[in-house]
Amino acid sequence: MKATDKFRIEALLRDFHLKPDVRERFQKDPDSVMREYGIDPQYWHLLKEGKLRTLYSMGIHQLLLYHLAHVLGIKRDEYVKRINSPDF
Amino acid sequence: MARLVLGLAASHAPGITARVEEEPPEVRTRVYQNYDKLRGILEEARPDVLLVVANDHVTYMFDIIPQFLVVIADEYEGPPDYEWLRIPKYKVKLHVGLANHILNGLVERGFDVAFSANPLLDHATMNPLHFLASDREKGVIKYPIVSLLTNAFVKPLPPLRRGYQLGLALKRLVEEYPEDLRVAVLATGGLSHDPGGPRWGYVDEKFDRAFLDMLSRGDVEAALNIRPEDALATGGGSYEILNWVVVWGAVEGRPATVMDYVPAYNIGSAWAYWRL
Repeated sequence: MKATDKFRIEALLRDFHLKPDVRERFQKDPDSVMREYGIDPQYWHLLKEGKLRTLYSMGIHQLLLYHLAHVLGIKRDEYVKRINSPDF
Repeated sequence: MARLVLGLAASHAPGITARVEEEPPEVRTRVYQNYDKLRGILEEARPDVLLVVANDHVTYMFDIIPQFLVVIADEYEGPPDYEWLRIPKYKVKLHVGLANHILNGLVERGFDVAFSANPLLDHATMNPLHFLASDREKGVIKYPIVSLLTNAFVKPLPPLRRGYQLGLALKRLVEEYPEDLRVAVLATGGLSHDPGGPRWGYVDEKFDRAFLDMLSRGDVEAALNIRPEDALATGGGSYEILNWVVVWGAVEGRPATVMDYVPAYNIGSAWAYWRL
């Protein structure tokens, strides 16, 4: 994964934490928000489907993945399951 | 001249306020009693300024990630997620004179610390202040603070030895400050935890108790030999012990009085102090 791709994904996740409007817009129209953040479309499904294990393996910081989980409504038990499962 | 009158250290886990009901009443009570006791010790010391050593959580230090950062601002209001944390949105005054003195002195001594006038202080700073130094009704922090932030989460991480050296420099700089101030220094964070990681919820009691044992024996060298990868092997958040080591340097490696250790709220929580 290119450093810039990683940064753009992490920037969105960081803003989930700090900017409620970004959270709300992502919940309604994730593709347009990811386009706005310049995230390569090949990664869009990972964010929309909460593929936590894959994102973690790609180097997305664990503290930021938590913000994604919050937006997707993934609770902690499910979070731990996903970040440890090859299915995610 | 200013002088350092007290060192404190306490965990800052957000769950302690945000998810209170996750632990049974006896655990909650024990956790809160530890903060109350530490608050009493702080009040006895009658500080004029509280120097807070805490880490960022890939939030404020994001576009640019310094290893150490001194906040140069007059005031702050936060934390931004105070509603989720279930604490008041506090107004904090910062002691800009001492902060500038520390920043300039650290740079002169070869510590390439960053600085910022636009702080974002998260739960790492604000949760311990909520317990130890707040007037909750008025929504204010009682003491002016100096905020020193560390990088405890994004590799490459500063070695503990560097943090300890920075702490030693902090003590000297405080003592060189010309105003007659009583300064307490507070470390927040740790011990082992893996927030958002594959072992979220796991606490490495062996690691935590070994670190606290070093602290209480004053065995600085043993602690400084802990490498970032050693701490990270116990959890992605465990290197927050860096903050404790900075403050340990500020109290010149004296043995700490470790008050308690409670593995709760997905973290090895601990409370300690150094009376000077």
